[in-house]
Amino acid sequence: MSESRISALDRQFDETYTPQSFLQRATTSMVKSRYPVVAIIFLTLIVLCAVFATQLAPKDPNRVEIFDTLKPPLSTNREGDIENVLGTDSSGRDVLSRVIYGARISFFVGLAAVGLGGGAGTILGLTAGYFGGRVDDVIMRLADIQLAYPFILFAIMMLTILGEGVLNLILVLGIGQWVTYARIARAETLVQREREFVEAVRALGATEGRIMFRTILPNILTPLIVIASFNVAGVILSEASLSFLGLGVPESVPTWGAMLANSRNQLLSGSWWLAVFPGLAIMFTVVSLNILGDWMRDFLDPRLRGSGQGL
Amino acid sequence: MHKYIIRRLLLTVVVVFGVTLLTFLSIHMSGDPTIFYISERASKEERLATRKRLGFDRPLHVQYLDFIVNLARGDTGNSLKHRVPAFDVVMERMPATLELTIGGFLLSTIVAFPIGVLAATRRGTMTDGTLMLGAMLGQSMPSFWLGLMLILFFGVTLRWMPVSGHVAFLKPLFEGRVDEALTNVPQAIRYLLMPMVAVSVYSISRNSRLIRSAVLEVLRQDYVVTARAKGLNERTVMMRHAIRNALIPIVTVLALQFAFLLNGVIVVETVFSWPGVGRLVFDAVSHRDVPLVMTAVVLLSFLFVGANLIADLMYGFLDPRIRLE
Repeated sequence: MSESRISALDRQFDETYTPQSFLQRATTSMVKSRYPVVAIIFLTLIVLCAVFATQLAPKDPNRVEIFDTLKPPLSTNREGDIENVLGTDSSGRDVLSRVIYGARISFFVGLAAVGLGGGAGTILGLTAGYFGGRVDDVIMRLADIQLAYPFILFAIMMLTILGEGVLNLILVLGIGQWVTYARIARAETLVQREREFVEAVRALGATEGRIMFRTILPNILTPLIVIASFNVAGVILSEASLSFLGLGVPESVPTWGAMLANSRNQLLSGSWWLAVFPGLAIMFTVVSLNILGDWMRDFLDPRLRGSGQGL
Repeated sequence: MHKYIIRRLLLTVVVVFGVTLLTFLSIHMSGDPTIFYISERASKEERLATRKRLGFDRPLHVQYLDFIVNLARGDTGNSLKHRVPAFDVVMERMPATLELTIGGFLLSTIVAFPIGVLAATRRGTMTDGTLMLGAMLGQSMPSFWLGLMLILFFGVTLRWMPVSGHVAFLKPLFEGRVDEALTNVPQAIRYLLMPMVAVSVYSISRNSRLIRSAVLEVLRQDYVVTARAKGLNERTVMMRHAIRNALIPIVTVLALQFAFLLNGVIVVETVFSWPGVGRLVFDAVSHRDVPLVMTAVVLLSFLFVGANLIADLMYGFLDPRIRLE
């Protein structure tokens, strides 16, 4: 063992003498790596925008002003006041208000789809790993089929059939996510079910359900939580793609993806603000979630580093 | 090894089978396939007659088996909208999609490799920090938004690049017109450049981060320490010991990326009005063009599964320690 490793160990022992709570350790590690702090601040702002959109938005996001179409950002009206900070779109709707309202769909859909897909995937993976045999075969072949289906194709099919609507969007995006969770949950369950404490619980007469959900599940949760934080970012990107293709939510609901779709026709006339701001909103939100995910992975489960999971 | 390949191929057949069944059921659930095929003013009798003529009046399982049997014989049926064999319609568009996918794949590999290796060798420095921050941003922007930004900047503002359009390269090549393909190359690349960058930015970012981790992982190994201890210069250590071993996980990820790229391609095609399969499928689904959707999905999923299969096999070839059972 090298000198530096020994001194590193010494330091570790020193640290154990000043016990810190989980929250303290989390905060220290977060402040030390700086980026996560910025990410948290930005995400808080965006979540506030989503929750208080009605109060924060300067205008009604769907109000059409036919005399004020395609106004560039910061342009003044006759009285010399700035009315639309980020300009207006081809129907005269206020871009800033629409960007603020757009946060709602992105976050709601992102969290709900990950909740749905993550929950279903975890249960299926746990079941497959725990029971093995035919159950395992069926679930994992389903996963293979799903993986062979390019997700965008699948989403186009499903959304055309189900029709538009936030719930349908969540359902389709949720179905798109379960495989990742199922595979990880299965792999982890295969390891955990052989451990002594599981055997001990079984010897005490616990039911299968109790062993699965009370004994094994808490022990496989960490990697799944780390994946979920990246996954919210991924789902927000997918939602934007689908909205961009005109699938998903009705026209009247402002989303970042749909705003970008509308901007495409105005691009050649040089109305840059329509394409720039919603895109920046997506990018900063997703980058914040990714930074947070990175930090969570290193903090909670350093084993995952470099495994390519979730990135 | 042979056993493994056979098993994987069988699995591939099962998977593609599942994909076709899923597609078939869902498109039939969406309603009457003939609704856009004949005039909306057609009487009920005419509609029924059309359904009968096209075979849509038969039970679903009969229709599905019929499709599979015909598929095995190479007959995909006529597209309802285009009224020519569906296979021809898809193949007409496939080369453009392949150009974009292969182009994006090559670009992401060629660019990501040096970035990843450089960041790993300069670990903890400004270079590393800047590159990885860039990768983080690249991984977080929607490909279609980058496409729009490229159009805005290089197409509209600077007027350096065409904002949409396509010059064929693969199509004349596949059809044996090599001369035409070669003369098209400069223009083809010109039109391909912006869509290609948009499609590959996510992969470039993701791959460079993965390559960096893979190289760092290898640099920690004992044999690298040994190589350094026996006095080899850093260049030899990197080239002969580190990178060669880091290649194994990298190649797998790269091959998997090929399949993943297809997803982005479908969206980016819309941004640049690229005449590929993505747009075609999108229209076919909304027209309930059953034969066309089925054919396109079968061909795309073959590509998808094929790329993954190659990734798996390459893993075994590259690292003889891995026994594929």
